[in-house]
Amino acid sequence: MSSFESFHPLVTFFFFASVIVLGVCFLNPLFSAVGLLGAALMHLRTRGKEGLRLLGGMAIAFVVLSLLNPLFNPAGDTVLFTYGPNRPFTLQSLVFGMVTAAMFVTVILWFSSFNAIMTGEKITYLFGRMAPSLSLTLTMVLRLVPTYRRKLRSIMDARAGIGKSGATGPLTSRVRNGGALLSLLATWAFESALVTADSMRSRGFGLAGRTCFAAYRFTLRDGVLLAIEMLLTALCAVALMTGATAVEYFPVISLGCPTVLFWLALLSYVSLVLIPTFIDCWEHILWRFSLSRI
Amino acid sequence: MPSMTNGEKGPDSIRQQEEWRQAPDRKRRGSSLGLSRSRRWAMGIAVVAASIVTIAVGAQLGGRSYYLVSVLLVIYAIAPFFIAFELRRPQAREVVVLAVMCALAVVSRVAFIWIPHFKPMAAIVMLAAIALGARSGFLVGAVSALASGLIFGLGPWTPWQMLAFGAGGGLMGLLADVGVVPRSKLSPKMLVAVSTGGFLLVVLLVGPILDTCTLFTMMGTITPTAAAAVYLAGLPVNLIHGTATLATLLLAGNPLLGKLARVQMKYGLLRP
Repeated sequence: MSSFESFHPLVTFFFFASVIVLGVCFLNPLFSAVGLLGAALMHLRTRGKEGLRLLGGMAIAFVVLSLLNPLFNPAGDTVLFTYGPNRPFTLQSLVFGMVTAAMFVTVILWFSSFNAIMTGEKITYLFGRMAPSLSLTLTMVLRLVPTYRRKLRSIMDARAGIGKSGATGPLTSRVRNGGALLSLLATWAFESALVTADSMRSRGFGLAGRTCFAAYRFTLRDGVLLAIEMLLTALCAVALMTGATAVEYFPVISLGCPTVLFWLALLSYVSLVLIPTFIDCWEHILWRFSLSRI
Repeated sequence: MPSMTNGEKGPDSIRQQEEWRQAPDRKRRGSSLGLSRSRRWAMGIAVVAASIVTIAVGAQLGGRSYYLVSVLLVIYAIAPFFIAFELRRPQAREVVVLAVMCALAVVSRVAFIWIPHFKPMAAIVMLAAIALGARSGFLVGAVSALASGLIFGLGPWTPWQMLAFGAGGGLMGLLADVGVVPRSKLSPKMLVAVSTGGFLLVVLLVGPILDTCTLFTMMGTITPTAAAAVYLAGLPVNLIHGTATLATLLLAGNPLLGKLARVQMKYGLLRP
């Protein structure tokens, strides 16, 4: 597990928001490749060996989506081959398809790490003060779902005991069994929920002057990292807005003449996507250093 | 028991006390979203203005900004319902009933675990909407989608799912609000009509919104052919989804609505 996740939720959230939005916006193949590699690295770090499965699936999706684009978009000068009634399959469209597929895969992989690091309570902590009722509802749902799942299992076991297992039989009886299960669960859920509601009210729900539970503190290192993230993001955004990273795909691919701003933005983007890796390496070095002194 | 001032006589039974306590809340119920007219206008103008600005900036930027613009527009569409919910300062019971309906919607998939591709979530959202009204129906749909995203993984599709299920619930709730669909005890004919309506809502509204997400996130260039391909590929999936909704509404419709009505009657809560 990476030590990047031990930072304040605001810092990690800003990181993901920034890399995902930038990953979608950059059309330059060089930047797409950087984003894709960064996302894949982070995904493997957070998910470990089981992350390889999603990565394999995404590799297939990348190939399929890349090949799909030229079928819908015949623009471009370099015709690789023609098919059907004289429809061209062009190199430019293929490259554009690859960039789009890379964007798709990048976003999915970032979200995979996001889901591993930004747990439900971090998100409700971040947005809890902005939307207290909504985050309370969400927190309750997240707590009720496992409870209901357990309850449903025990209802299913009990029904299986009297020969009403839904596992076998024709489709209609299995569907009917599901309906019965839902109805049974609902009976139990409503009654126990209203006890909860009354208990909440008697403990002063909705009164003024109540505080939020907070398990996170914003310290100096969080501030420093957030400032770095913001600076790198701003540099990339400026390059995007001024068109320093713009690329022409049709009719021929032209990357334009790289300016100083282009290289600066590329450097910023590389540093940004590698921030979690940097932090882990730094912790590793610190650990080694302190070991040698013991 | 709250102490009474000015010699005002307090309500005696618990049921009456509950109604007395909720009285000012009920006055606001007449307007849509439960907000005053000026606030509603302010929110409407804010949403339209934000949408225009976003589209203008997106058009200026060009490139792939339609990806972000579409997600932002979806968020603008959801936001008023959530903001209205916050501004209403819901009571504990309202929050709890919404949370229970959302959790039931998320878990419902487990009850049909032995049937492949059977997704009953939309049906549960629609039942909640019939019982609780359009506003709560939208919230149950959107929060269920968000919660299932938090449990099974968030993605770029999450806002779209929130909008799709919220819209499905909101429209079904609207039918109940205007009196076309009764709140509970549906006659056999009405039950078939509601189930068919649920099927159509999924196939024509919920499914296509989800397909639009696929179109925007996966396709490099959006052309009429690409759009047609995505919507056609989504049709079989939507038909299966719609059939599952139809079956769930037929089977669980009356039992669940009856239970909700009983709980509402017993505790005097969330009557739309």
